[in-house]
Amino acid sequence: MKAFLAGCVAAVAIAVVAALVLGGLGMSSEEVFKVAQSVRL
Amino acid sequence: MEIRMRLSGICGGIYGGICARLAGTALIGLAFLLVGGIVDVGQGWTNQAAAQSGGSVRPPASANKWAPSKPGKIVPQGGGDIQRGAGGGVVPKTVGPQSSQPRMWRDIRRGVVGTTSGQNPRDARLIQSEGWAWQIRCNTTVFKFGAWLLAGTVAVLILFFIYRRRIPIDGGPSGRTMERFNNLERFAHWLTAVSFIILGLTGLAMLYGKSVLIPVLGKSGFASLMMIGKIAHNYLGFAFIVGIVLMVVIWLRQNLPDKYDIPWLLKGGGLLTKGHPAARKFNFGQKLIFWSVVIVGGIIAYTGVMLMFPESGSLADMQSNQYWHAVLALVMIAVILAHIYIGSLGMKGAFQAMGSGQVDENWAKQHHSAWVDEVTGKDGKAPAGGAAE
Repeated sequence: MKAFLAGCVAAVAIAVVAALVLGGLGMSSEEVFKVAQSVRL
Repeated sequence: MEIRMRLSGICGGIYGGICARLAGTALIGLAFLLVGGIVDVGQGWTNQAAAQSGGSVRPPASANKWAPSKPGKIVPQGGGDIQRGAGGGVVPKTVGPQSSQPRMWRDIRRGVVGTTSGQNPRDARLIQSEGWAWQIRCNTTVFKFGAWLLAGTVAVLILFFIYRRRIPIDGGPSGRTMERFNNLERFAHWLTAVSFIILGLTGLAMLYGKSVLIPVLGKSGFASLMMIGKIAHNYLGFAFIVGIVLMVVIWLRQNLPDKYDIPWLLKGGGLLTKGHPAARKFNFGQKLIFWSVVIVGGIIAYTGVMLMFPESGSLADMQSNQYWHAVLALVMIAVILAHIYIGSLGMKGAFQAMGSGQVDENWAKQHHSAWVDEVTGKDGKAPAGGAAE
């Protein structure tokens, strides 16, 4: 049961972090992609 | 009498004159309408038809003002119907279908690219005809495929339950338990499972919501639900990816092929007959689930992330990503439905493996006898971990 709850909390936490990184910082997906591309290069 | 006759003559003359004028006006008007209509209909063709020999009305090649000079570029010729856009690009003055420029429209339908003053260079392509085929494929083929696949899976599981009932523990529970999965393993499982269930439900709502949910929730209710659902779908995808990575790190080695797989497969995993083939920690069926999640789930995750970044590829790439994302997700949902069934309703004692992490010793011997031997050291090697209580 604890592992299940931990999994739920972690899923939400990861989703929130992803939302913050991709959306909350005010970056459009185009800008994020450009950043990712520059990092890769 | 004479006065009356004269008046009658005058009135008749006036009446006759009016009628004649009206009739004349009507005829002239009709003639204008006919001529005007013919001229209007044939406006785009008259000059071209005159240039053609043999009375053909097919426009000559020189009549096309929008012939592409090379693939992917439109260069105006003649210049009669073009103007300069704000960004320096050329745009037609009249873009309505009334403009009779069949070759221009044919080229546009073929997907030639012009220029645009917009930020997105894709806007320079007016029509992507492949998009229609993609839309039809998604709205019919994928729609029906998913419905039949999921309904078929549920039907098979119901029939299997009727035939096999709940698979019992041979000899009943022993009362002694042994650790099947530790905290980290269960955490990885539930992280992946919870995110996949929400991803699956929201994905199904995207595909079937218009048909299934709008009649129940109404358009505004469905819109509100999907506004949240779309956000959840986008961002929980990353939790699913983390879950897959964790599972690969934890379970990859134990999911490699071993000598127990073929016998297990030949006996159908003991699902249809009595007696259970030996297996290590994961039997062949569980390995199939694992590799399905890793490979198919990985492709679903990849295409999903690509869909979140439409700049990463062409429009055709996005359509391909969306198509495979939907198809493979439907396959994955069917596989996971079977997994959920056998891990809960279909087999007694199975859920505890991922619930508390402890399974009954008799259950473990029944389904994973080789693993029990490894854990307890009965295989002649040192115990591999997981102690009986």
